[in-house]
Amino acid sequence: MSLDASDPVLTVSGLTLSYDIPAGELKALRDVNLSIGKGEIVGLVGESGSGKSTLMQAILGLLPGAAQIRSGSIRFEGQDLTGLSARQMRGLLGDRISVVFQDPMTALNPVLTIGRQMIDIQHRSKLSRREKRARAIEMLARVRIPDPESRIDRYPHEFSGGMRQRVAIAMALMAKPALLVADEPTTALDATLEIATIDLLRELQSEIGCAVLFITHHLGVVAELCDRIDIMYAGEIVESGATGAVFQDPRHPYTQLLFGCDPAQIAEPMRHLPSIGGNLPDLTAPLPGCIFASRCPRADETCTTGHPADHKAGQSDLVRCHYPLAPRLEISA
Amino acid sequence: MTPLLSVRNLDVSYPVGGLMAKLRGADQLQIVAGVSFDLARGETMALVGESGSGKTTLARAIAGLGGLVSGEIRFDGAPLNTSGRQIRRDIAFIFQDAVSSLSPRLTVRALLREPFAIHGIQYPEGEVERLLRLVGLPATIAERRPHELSGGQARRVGVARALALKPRLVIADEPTAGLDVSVQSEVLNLLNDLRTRLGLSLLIITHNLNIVRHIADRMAIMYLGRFVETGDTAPVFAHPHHPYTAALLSANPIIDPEARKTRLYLKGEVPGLVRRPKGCEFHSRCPFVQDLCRSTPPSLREDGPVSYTCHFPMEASVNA
Repeated sequence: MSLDASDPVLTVSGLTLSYDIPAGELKALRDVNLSIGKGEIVGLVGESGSGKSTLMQAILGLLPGAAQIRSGSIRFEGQDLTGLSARQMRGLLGDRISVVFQDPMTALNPVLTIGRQMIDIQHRSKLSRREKRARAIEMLARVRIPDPESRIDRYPHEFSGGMRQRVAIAMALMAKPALLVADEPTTALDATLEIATIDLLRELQSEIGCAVLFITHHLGVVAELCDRIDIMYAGEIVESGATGAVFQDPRHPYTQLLFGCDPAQIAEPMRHLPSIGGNLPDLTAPLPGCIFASRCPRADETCTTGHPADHKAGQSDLVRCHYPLAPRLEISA
Repeated sequence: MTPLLSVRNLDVSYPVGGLMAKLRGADQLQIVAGVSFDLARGETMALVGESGSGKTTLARAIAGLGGLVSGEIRFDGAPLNTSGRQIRRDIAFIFQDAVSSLSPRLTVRALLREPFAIHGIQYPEGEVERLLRLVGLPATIAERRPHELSGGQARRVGVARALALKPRLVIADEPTAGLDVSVQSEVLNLLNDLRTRLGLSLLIITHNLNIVRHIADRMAIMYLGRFVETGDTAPVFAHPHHPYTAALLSANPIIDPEARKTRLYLKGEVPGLVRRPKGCEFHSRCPFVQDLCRSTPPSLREDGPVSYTCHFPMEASVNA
């Protein structure tokens, strides 16, 4: 894919967001910067609680009421999404921006046929019902649903999990969006289906030319699919860069340790697997320094007192660390 | 030494359909078919396969948790009484969904005391704290309820509960599904430490091949309720004989772009259990299918530490 990084589809800059909770203010996202170029596939990786879903909800305008955007902007095709009304946002969703969710069973309406749902989603189009149905059949064929002419009148429960996810992908791509947000779309699938779904997604993406924000915690999937990778930890993007470069030479200590404890990246079988140790920091009262300082083996006084800036280091475009050029950390079991 | 668990020709079925199905003699759906294996003391075995391959049904049958079971299960040399009470003490089950397997109305303390009450065993004072320490949780967690726990913590409580009555076999159904890699390592290390410290045998159900390679002594690959390949983990990874094993291994997403080129793709989807394919049951999806496969079921063959059921096994690959 050729990338036009000078004119990104989506730019999140300085996004800071918190939830009002009884215990105070939970600072869920702090100064998040993320950019997705035209036709680019970006993998957003982070453990549970890292803020991946909050960031996704902020982009889609689906934040719960307790969430407050404190500062920053989310620019999509020239307009700031944070300032849009619910009505304006609805105009974008399903048309310029669409979503594939994690669970294909709950994403589809169980009491309507696939065809009805695929026709409904084209409600903005001026086509006749017959033409919409033909488009739906064509789209089902493209996601390799066998016998789409008769399958289109079936209900979601008559499809297997892998097929349901392919139907959800077909629906999301029907309007040829500029941005597809995929929230762990393969987590619920078996490995063989996961690979098939990824291959399909890549193929459709290159046909349609949409940008994809792929949210996952499966590092192998990012390596297979994504042009770029963004790594989140406790509400901040700590490292960002081209996928191959980051996998080869991660510059942030968290990325280094995360890759170090991925069993897929450990060549020799070992009984005792490495882990990072410690827990996520308390986000209601984050310390002034680096967010990873409490678990970082390299942390010194600079790290516990001062918040690091974003640096360009190695081949990574963004490393939020005071020592981005320090030698790679080894993790022991 | 006799194996701790010995399973021979195990079939597991579930009743299906109504009166008509009964009259046609089709009122049972066979989920697990002709499974045989041994599990030694202190050994870890992994059951691998896609959804619907019968992994969980097999494990539940061994733990006496349902299904119409025929065949032989011996535990510690004696036939296993799956309806008795002793089995609940000897075999512990760690359920797939950690949070929903814990009663939301009980505190962690009550959850950990419950097994003792059920079996009428005098609760040893301080046992809750000891169990929490064993699984690496702070004692303060005892007063919390399941919804106040993180996924990893709930998983650890599930492990602590499973270990409360000092079982000899622990069956863990997808113990790390949905966990992040670092927490996944912690849970697996915990199970492994307990295995070496307490001499437990572990039967781990998973479809994460990356962890199987590291933690299992042996593995069994299931397809439509049968073992299609079993053997020591390292040789199976180095040289899969059954095309299904090879396809599963190659479907594992990998970091190295060079290694992707040899990927083996399967056709179609898993066929229904109601109408099992004739001949080799894998023939409908096998990339190397031949006429013989469509008509004749393959018998069990052996190659050193690996046994498999395939007419035309894969050759050892050069890059392995």
